[in-house]
Amino acid sequence: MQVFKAYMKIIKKKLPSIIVYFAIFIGISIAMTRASGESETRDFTQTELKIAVENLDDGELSKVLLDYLKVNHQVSDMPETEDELLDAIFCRELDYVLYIPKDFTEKFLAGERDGILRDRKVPQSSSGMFADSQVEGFLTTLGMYLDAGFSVEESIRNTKEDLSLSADVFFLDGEDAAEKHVAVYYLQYLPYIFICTVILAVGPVLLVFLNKDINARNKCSAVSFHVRNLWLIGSSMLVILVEFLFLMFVGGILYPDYIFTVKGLLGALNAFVSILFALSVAFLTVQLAKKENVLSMVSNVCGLALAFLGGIFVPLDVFGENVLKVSKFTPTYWYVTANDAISHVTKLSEVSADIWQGVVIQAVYAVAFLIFGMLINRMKARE
Amino acid sequence: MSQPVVVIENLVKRYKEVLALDHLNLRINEGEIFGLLGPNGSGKTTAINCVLALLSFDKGSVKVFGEEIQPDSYEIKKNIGVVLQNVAVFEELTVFENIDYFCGLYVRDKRLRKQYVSEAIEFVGLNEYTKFYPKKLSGGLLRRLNIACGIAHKPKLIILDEPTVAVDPQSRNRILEGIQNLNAQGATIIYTSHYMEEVEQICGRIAIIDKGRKIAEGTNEELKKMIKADEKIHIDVVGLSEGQLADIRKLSHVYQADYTENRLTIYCNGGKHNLVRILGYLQENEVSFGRVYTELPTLNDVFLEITGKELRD
Repeated sequence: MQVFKAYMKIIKKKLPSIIVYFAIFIGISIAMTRASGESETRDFTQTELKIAVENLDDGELSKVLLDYLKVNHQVSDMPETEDELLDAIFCRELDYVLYIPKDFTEKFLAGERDGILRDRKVPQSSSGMFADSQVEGFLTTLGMYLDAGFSVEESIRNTKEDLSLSADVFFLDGEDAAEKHVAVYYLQYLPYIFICTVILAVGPVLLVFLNKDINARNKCSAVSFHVRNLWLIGSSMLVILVEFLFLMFVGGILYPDYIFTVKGLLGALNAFVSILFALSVAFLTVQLAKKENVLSMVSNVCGLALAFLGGIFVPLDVFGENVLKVSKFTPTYWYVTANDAISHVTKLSEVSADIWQGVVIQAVYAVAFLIFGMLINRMKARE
Repeated sequence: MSQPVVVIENLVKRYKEVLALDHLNLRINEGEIFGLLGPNGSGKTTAINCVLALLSFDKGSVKVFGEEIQPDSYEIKKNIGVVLQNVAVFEELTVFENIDYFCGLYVRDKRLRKQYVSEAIEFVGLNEYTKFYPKKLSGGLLRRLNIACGIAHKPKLIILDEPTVAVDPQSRNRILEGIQNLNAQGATIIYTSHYMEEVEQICGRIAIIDKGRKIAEGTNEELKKMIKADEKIHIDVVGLSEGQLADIRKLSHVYQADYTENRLTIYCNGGKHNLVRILGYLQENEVSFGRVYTELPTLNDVFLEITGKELRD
């Protein structure tokens, strides 16, 4: 009981700094949750280019071409001087400059297609290539109808009709993305918060109890080593339980329609195992660290490394094959995959093996880190 | 004869190649203040750590209250109070909370513990500092807090390992008086130090150890009787010749005389009126002398004579 009381007094003393860290990490995570939710909606809009045109042709085709370009892009007159033109291109105020020569309509109708128009653009720019493809697409289609024997009016009408058709753009997993609840992202960021805050909150207190002199003094007492350790473990468990419940409570307030469902329940289970892993990391860290500022460094490095490698900050879909292989060695990868799998569950009977696999692998990691920490502790005691 | 509280027999402890304790034998009786004196690195703390089962040892046995001490001898440990060399307190807890924590490792009853903690605070004179955090305390007050944490549960055996290191004279006196009071209240005390004055002042029996071996043991007087010197006389003398120094060495009860930098040091073994006899010789031979003082042998002289080196070397 004395150990528990001292533990709580020490953590109370460190509470202000813990709250600051906690607020920062929760803030970052909620902000990233929102950002991820938006970016994952996968909307598609066509890019609008800024095009300047010098049209010296009086013919009909040049007017039709300009009308076509004006539908999707901002078409303006040419700047007055060459310097102004170059400045506009350099500053990306213009994406594309099109020169239509005096006899463009005449030459095109005569069958001359290549090299009639001139253009200027930023070399190798995607906007320049896009504008090129738009102009060439128009001319190729128009030329195709003319060559096929259609009249000029018919060819223009058909070309306009053809080019007005637009393709619906969607991603193969778009349906899934649309259904993914933003709470999934909230839960996805929890391991990052857990690793950082548990190391920073529990670590310094454990460090106090593992201090060489305090430890020696405790060993002289009438309270057994096992009882003291049980109290330390129990106190640490209470602290992480409070943190876990608080974050679940916040999640419940923000996303009640997800958290208070089977998905939320399974997500909470997954998150609880994850916070146990974070505690085992904290336990291992204090065995190796001698000072509190080392804990801060370790929490940042571990938190960020596991978050990036495990697919918390970056979707696993974008990982290369080799990175994915490395990622599978992190417990956060298994958390994220389980969390994803949980988001598809609607009934308890649908809980797939993937989910249990993810949860169990995290638990194995937690036990392994704990055992490793205990081994180091024993080695240090022998020294 | 009193019952032995601690019995150490043939204790051997090695740190790889270094022999820290070399067949150490000690017997500490109930109700005594037993001093363990030796220079830094002599093995005092190692011996204490073996008594507390903080260290395993290679050979021998350590019995406390008649039983072999083990790391899990919690029933024995209930009756032991420990004040380790390094201050072991929580920086995050106040003076009161620290004493309450360590007392609570022995005393479960909340009311009794509160009383014990108050008495310990009173005992070490930290009444005005109960709400202070350790980092706000001076070195002396911190040592007193360390002692209070070790003795609050009223143990029968109190082990103090160099409790006065880096302590101001006022706190040191207070600590030494406190230890004598604890002993008067019935506690057996083991006191280690490399300050011979402290050990001489408070300890009934003393063991001097060096390089892990006990080189002498007894009361203060018994230890001093082990050496030849009964009296040491220092005289500031100018121009003493080799012949005169040889004459002084021949005086009765003088067994050694040195003359360096105008100072004559004479070691006498027993006898009476040694000083009068020496001064008489100097006057007769018209040797001018100035300041004269004598001193009785100290534990340092005992250590010096047995080991050939100073206690503080």
